[in-house]
Amino acid sequence: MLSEERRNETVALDGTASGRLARPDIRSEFGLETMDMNMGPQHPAMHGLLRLILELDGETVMRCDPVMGYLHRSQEKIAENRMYPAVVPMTDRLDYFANIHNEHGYVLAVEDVLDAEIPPRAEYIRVLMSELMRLASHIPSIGFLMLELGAFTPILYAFRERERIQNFLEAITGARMMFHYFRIGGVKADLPPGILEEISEYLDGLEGRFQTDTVDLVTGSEIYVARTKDVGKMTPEQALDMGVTGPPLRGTGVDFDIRRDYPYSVYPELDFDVVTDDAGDVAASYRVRIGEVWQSIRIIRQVIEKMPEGPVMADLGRRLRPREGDGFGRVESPRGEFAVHVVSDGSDSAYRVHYRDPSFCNMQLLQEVVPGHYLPDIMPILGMIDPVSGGWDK
Amino acid sequence: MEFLNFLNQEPFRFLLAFGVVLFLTLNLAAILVMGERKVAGYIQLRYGPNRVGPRGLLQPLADIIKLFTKENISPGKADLWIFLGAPIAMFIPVAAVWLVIPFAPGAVVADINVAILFFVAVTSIGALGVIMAGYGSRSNFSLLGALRGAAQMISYEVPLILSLLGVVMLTGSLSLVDVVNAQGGGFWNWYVVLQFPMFIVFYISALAETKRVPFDLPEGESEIVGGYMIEYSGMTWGLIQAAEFAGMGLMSGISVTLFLGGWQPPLEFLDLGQFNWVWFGIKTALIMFTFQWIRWSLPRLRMDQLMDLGWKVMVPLTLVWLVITAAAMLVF
Amino acid sequence: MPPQLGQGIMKGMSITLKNLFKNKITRQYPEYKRNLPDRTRGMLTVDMDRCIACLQCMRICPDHCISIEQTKRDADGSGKPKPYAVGFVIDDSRCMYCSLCVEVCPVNCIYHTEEFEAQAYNRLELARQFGERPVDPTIDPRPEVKKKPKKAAAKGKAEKGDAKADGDAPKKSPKKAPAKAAKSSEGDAA
Repeated sequence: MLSEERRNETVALDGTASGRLARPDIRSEFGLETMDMNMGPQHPAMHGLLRLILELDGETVMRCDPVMGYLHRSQEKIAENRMYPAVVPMTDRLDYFANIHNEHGYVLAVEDVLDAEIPPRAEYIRVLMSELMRLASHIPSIGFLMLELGAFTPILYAFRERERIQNFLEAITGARMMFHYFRIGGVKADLPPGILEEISEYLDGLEGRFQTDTVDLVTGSEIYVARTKDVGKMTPEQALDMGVTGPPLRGTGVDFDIRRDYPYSVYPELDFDVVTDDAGDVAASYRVRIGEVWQSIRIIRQVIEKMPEGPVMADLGRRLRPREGDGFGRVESPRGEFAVHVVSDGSDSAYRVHYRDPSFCNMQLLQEVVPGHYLPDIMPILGMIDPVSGGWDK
Repeated sequence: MEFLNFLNQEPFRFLLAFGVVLFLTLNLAAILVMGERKVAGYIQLRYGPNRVGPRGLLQPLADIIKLFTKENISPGKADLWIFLGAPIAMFIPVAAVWLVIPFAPGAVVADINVAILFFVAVTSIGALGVIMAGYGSRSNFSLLGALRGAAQMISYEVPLILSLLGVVMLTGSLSLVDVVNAQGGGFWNWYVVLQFPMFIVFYISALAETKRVPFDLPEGESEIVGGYMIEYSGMTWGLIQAAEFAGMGLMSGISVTLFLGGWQPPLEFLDLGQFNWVWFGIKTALIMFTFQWIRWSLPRLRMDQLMDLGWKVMVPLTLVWLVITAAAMLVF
Repeated sequence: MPPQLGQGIMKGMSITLKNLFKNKITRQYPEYKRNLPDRTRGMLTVDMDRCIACLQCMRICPDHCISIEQTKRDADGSGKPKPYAVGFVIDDSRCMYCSLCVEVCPVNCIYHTEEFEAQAYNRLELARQFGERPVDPTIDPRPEVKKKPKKAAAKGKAEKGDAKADGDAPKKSPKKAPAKAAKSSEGDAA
C-alpha cells in the first residue's frame, strides 16, 4: 500500500499519468469518496489468478495492491522432497508459458553444484529449445496485449504460430506443454532426424507471417499507439529499484540481458543483439519483444548452422549425489531473469531450492506504476509484465 | 378475404405491422449473432459455429432455446424492478425506430413527417436502459459500465444529430420517405457523394451509439467484464444482446436510408418495383458486415480518447461541413 | 512524419479482410486426428511378461501413480523364486506423463502409448490394472522418504530417530521396499 507521503509525492509529479490523481486536500474538502474495487481472482484479463485491490476515484486508479497466492503449490518444498532428477518435471509447472527456461535454470543450478561437464551438442540443443520457446512465448504475448485492449483476432494469429512451434517441440520432446526434456547432464534424447531442416523452413515462413499478422496488424494501428504510448511509464532508476528484469527493463533503456552479461550455455559463441528502447512505457516493452523475436530467429539460424555432432548426455552416474554446497543457475526467460538456487547437503535431494521467478518480481511494478492511470490502463501494464500465474505463485 | 379488410383500418394495420416488425427485429438479432460469430471465425482462420444443423445454420435456434431454459438470476441486493426493466427499456426503442424506416416504395409502417426527429428522440432512450441496468445491478463493475455508457452515448448523440442535419438541409424534410425519394436516379444522387464527411461522422457515431468496438467501453470485457450487463443471465441477458445487435442493424438501416439511397437501386434499370427491399437488404447487410469487420480488427479506445475524438474532432468537423453545405446551397 | 489519419487502422483491416478469405487452419478434432510424432508421451502401458518387479518405476514416480504388489514366484521355471509383480496399477488421474519411469525401467517393459484420451465418470476408473490381482489405487504407495539432511540432524535427534525407524527401513533393504504390499502377499506366494 502506498504511504500517505508516497501518495503525495506522486501527486506532485505532473505531465505524467500520476498528475491525474486528484489532490487529497481537494477530495477531503468536497467530501469526495473513492470506490474500492476487487479485480479478480476470477477475471478474464488477470493472466490467471491474480487479485488486484483497487481504490478508484472515478476511472482513475488511486491505489493498486496485487494479492497473490491463489495458485500456490509449494513448488520449493516439493523440490526439497524429491530426488534431483524428479524435480525437473515439476519446474515445468512454474512458468507454464515458457517451461523450457524453468528446466534450464534448474538443471544449470544442479550442474553447478555437481561441477558437471555438458557435451557441446546438448548445449546447442538447449539453446535451440530455449529460443524456440522464447518465440512461442513472445509472439502470443503481443496477442495477449491486444486481447486486453479489446481486439480478439491477433491472439489467434499468434497462437497459430505458437501451435506450430509446439509441433516441433512435441516432435523433439514428446509433449506439447510439459516438456521435461532437459536432464541434469544434458538433454533427454537427440534431435529426431530432419527436424532442423523443418525448423529452418518454418522460420522462413514465420518471418513473413509475423511481419504482417502481428507487427503490421498491431503496432501500426493508431488505437494501439494511443492505448500504449506513455502508459506505464517508468524511469530506468525506478525499474532497477523495483528489481524489474526482462523486456520491461530493457524498454526503459537499461542494457541488461543475462544471455550476454552472465553468459550460460553456448550463448557467448552466438551472435545476437540485446534489444533496448528508451521510452519506458508499454509500447517500448512491446517493441523490445518484437525485436527479440527477430533476434531469436537469428539465434536459431546460427544454432542450426553450428550444431555439432556428439553425445547429448554426460555420464554422471545413476544416482546423483552432489557435493555439499550450493549451486546457482540463471537464465533469461521471456519474462525476465529466472534464477534457481539449490543448496545441497550431499544427499539424494536438495536441502533447499529457491526459484526467483520474473513474473513475481516484476509484479512490484504494479503498485508503483499503476496509481494515476485510468482503470483500462491496468490491462496494458499487466500485459507489459506479462506475468504467468504459475510463475508468481510457485 | 373480405372479412380481413378491417386490417387495413388504422389501429389494426398499425398493431399488425408493429407485431411483424417486433418479430423481425428479434429474428434479426438472432441472425446477426450468428453472422457475427461466422465473420469472427472466418477472420480468425477458423470456421465459427458449424455443428448445429447444416454448416451451423441452426445455431441461433439452439442459442435461443438455451437462453430461454436458463435460470434468471438477479443479485440479492439488486433493485429488482429497475434491474428487470432495463433490458426492455433497451429493446423497445430499437424496435420502435424500425417503424419509420421505408423498406420499399410504399412499404413503411408509419410515414410520419418528423421521422428523423423520432429516430433521434427514441434512440436516446437507449442510454436510459444502460443506466438502469448498471444502477439496478448494484455492482461496482456495472456501475462503472453504466457511467461510461451514459457519458459515451450522450456525447456521441451530438455529432450523430449534427451529421443528420446536412441531409435534412438538402432534402428540406424530416420524413425518411422524402429523404429516400430525393436520392433516386442512380448512385451518384445518393447523399453519401455530397455529404461524405457527414457519412463518416455518422458511421463513427453509430458505432459509438451501438457500443461496438472500438467504442465498446461500457462493455469493456477486459477490464470491467461486460460492464452494465455483468449481472444478467438467461433471457434478460439475451434481451440485452438482442437490443445491441438489433441496434446495430438499426444503425445500418438508418445510415443506408439517409446516405446510401435507402431502397433506391444503384442504377435506373435495376429497379425491382415492389421488390426494391432487396436493395435495402443488400446495402444494410454490407454496412453491418463492416461493423463486424471493425469489431474483429481493432482494439478499444480509452474513455478520455473517446471523448477527445467526439468533442474535439467530430463536432467541429460536422459544424464546418454544415456551413459548407449551407454556402453551397446558396450558391447553386 | 505525416499525420496519422487512420492509415494504420486501414492496413490492419486489410490484413483481417485478406485472412477472411484464406484457408482455415482449424482441424475438426474428433473427425480429424493428426499424426502424433514417434516420441509422443501418451498413457503408460506395461508389458507384464517382461516386468521383473524391480520397483524402480514406483520409486521414481513423482506423483506416486504406480503401485506394485510384489511377491516371490518361480515364474520362469528355473527353480529359483524371483520377485514377481502380481498386481500393477497405473493411476492416470495422477500421472503427469513425465516419462521418468520409462527411463529407469531396466527391461523397457513400461512405455508410452499414443493414447491420450483418458476420461471417466469416476476417478477410480482411471486407475488401470495390469496384474493378475487388482491393487487398490486409493492407497498411496509408500512415499519416498528423504534421507536425513546432515545439517538438520543435529537438532531434535530424538523425534527423528523415531522417524528413522520406520521411514528409512525400505532404503536400507531395498528388496523389502513396498513393505506392506510385500508382506501381505507373502502368504500366497509360499
